[in-house]
Amino acid sequence: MNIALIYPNVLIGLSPMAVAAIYYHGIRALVLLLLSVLFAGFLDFLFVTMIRKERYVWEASSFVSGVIFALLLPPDTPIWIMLIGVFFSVIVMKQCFGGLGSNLFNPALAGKAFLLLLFPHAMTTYSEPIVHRLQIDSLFYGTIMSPSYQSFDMSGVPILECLSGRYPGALGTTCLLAVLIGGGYLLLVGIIRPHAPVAFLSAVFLLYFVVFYPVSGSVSGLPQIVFQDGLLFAAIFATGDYSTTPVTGLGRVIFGAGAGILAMLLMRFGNPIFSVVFPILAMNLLTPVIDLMVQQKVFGEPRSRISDLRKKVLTGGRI
Amino acid sequence: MKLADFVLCIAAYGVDMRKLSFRKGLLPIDGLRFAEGRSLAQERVLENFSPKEILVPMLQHVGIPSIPVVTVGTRVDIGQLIGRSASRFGVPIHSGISGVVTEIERISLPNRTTCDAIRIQNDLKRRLHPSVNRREKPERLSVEELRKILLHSGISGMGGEGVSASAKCAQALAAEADTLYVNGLQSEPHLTSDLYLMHERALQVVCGAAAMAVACQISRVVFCIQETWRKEISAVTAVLQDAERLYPSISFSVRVFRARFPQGYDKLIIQAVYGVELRSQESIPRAVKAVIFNVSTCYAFWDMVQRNMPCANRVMTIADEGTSLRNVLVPIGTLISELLERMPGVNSSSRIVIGGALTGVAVTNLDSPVMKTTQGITLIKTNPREKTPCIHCGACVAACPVGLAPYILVRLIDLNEQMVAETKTLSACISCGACSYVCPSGIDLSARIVKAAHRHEIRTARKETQA
Repeated sequence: MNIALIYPNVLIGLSPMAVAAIYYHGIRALVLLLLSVLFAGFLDFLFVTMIRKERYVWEASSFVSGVIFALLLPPDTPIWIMLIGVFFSVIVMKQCFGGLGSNLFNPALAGKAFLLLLFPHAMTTYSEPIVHRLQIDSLFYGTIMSPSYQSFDMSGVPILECLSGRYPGALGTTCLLAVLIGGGYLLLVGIIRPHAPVAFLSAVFLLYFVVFYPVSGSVSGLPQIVFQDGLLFAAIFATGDYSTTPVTGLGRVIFGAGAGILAMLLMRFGNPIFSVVFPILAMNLLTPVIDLMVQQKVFGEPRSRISDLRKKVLTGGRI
Repeated sequence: MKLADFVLCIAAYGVDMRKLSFRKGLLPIDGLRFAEGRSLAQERVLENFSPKEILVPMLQHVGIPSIPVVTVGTRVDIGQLIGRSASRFGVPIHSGISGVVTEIERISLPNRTTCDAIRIQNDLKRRLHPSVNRREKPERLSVEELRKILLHSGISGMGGEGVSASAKCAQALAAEADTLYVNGLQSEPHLTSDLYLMHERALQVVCGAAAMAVACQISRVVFCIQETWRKEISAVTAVLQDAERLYPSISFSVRVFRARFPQGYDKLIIQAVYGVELRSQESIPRAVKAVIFNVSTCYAFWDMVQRNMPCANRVMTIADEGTSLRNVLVPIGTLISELLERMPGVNSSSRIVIGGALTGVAVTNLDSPVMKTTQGITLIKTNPREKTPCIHCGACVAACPVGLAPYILVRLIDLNEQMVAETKTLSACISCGACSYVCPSGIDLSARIVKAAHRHEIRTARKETQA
């Protein structure tokens, strides 16, 4: 493993979704993606060279978070709103927390959450995939030709349509086939470890029967919940980010399960709009605690003893 | 990477279905595939290297340096005693060449110790010391005779451990050990000295192990070999019958291990075989009634038993990263600089590491000598990666064979080294180098942890002398 190889590979894994986004939403998607990537990289570079005054090591992690952020946005997002989101995501959520590797929250998801709270109308207006992809004026007027929806209800969409992505939703997360291909590639290469996604999806699946089944009495709602816009995408890509997820296998399982439980609870009892990004952000906050409590057994030491280091930190030993 | 490699990579993080191994460590297919180069270099011919001069350190073992018994101007022969052991745990030092002593100087070795060293100029006459001659019926020697031979053989743990073989034998006797394990794992990439000995000199290795077993009053000898080295396994198995004829009281067997780095560590072998995890202070003979000796150690002992030739030469590997491997028989004390000068095709512009690519020590002063514990030297061409910050990926945690979290240790060492050292986590590190190897950011985790542990040792030693 080599840093120079990891992030370009993640970009390769994200490319099926980018292709699907451009296919369904045309020039607008291309512009959003490109601007997001370039602006994210530019801000990263600016901050490190001007404010931290360090030598900037060229690696693709800011591009990756730019792409993930753009893929989460609705296709009609005004460009200026997207730029505000990128600024928050890179400068505040990543660099102000310490830069590469030190960030507490997933920058892309945190940017999306920020925009969800500040511009809720823009973030929940989804339009149909456009017919004429090369329509240049879609850049300026949005896809004004096609009808737009508020919080699109997935119950009308058959499962095969979910796979192909021909329904209103965020840019890159609608085409489940692309998500599975990209995610499958990253899992195969070993960049994303399977613990957290599997735990997340298992928690979602199991909690469906606790939370939704008693109410609706049927299993037909399950595919809509699981294939909900962005859930699988977050399950694979957001839980596979290195800096914000726990370090041990068991820790990642706890992370995924916790995020899945929170997602289901939000979907049933809270606002479903928030059910994709906020559970992951909440578990990101808990990652340092998980890392502290879930440690490997040291060779030769009994398993029951809490390690001295952990004891010291827990009892306020000054670091 | 092939598809099978992909699947194995994932399996490495997931369920461990391996029978005889520990759970962590590196698969040989990880990363640079450094283990693949080894299969190309199974040479039959061993080069004999005759250096112009040797510089023999007096400290090639764990303990107190030995004391020189020769003076400048003394003529020495091959196999002559040049340093006597200074304590119960010391080993005597012998000369591997014939010549004249030119200097006795103080040198500092790459492992940060300083000691006296004897410089001998080779007169190329290859005179053997009169004490070196064949013994009749070496397999009939008794326990006491073998122990005496071992004491005078000057053998210290030649797999890098450096513990006096004679002291280990005494420990095994005291603990009433019943099994002797011959460590032929050599999981360090590029180094093939033990593999060469097992393949080409299998009978000597097996008989040496048998003799060592008799000296320790042990009746069971088990050879530990990695599953990928099938030729070595068959070579050793083929000579077991002959060995059984010579030593009918000993039972021999071969135990196959999974190919993992760093399986060759003694405590990890014990974990794989007995399922017991021993702390670093515990002694293996007392805990599980077993003793482990390296292949080169057994070979050297048979040399001593058969023809009274003490430990003054050894087989070592000169490894160029991934391209060429060469095993040479060198006298102990040969200078690395001379080895590199005279070996054809060696690119001396690479970085020189004494030992393996993972656990070795990089040296800039090439006038360091080959010691009893040197398994080889590695020449590394690729430049070190530019260090980026820790991305908290957990690769080091997954790779650590003793279950530490190197990224946290290094971060805490930077912040408050005293606190980390007091929690005794640093001493658990076996300095295998796996964490540094897997780190995608190129952070030298292993080196920093080992140096911090070393500084802590010095501090506690100083406090004890003051108190």
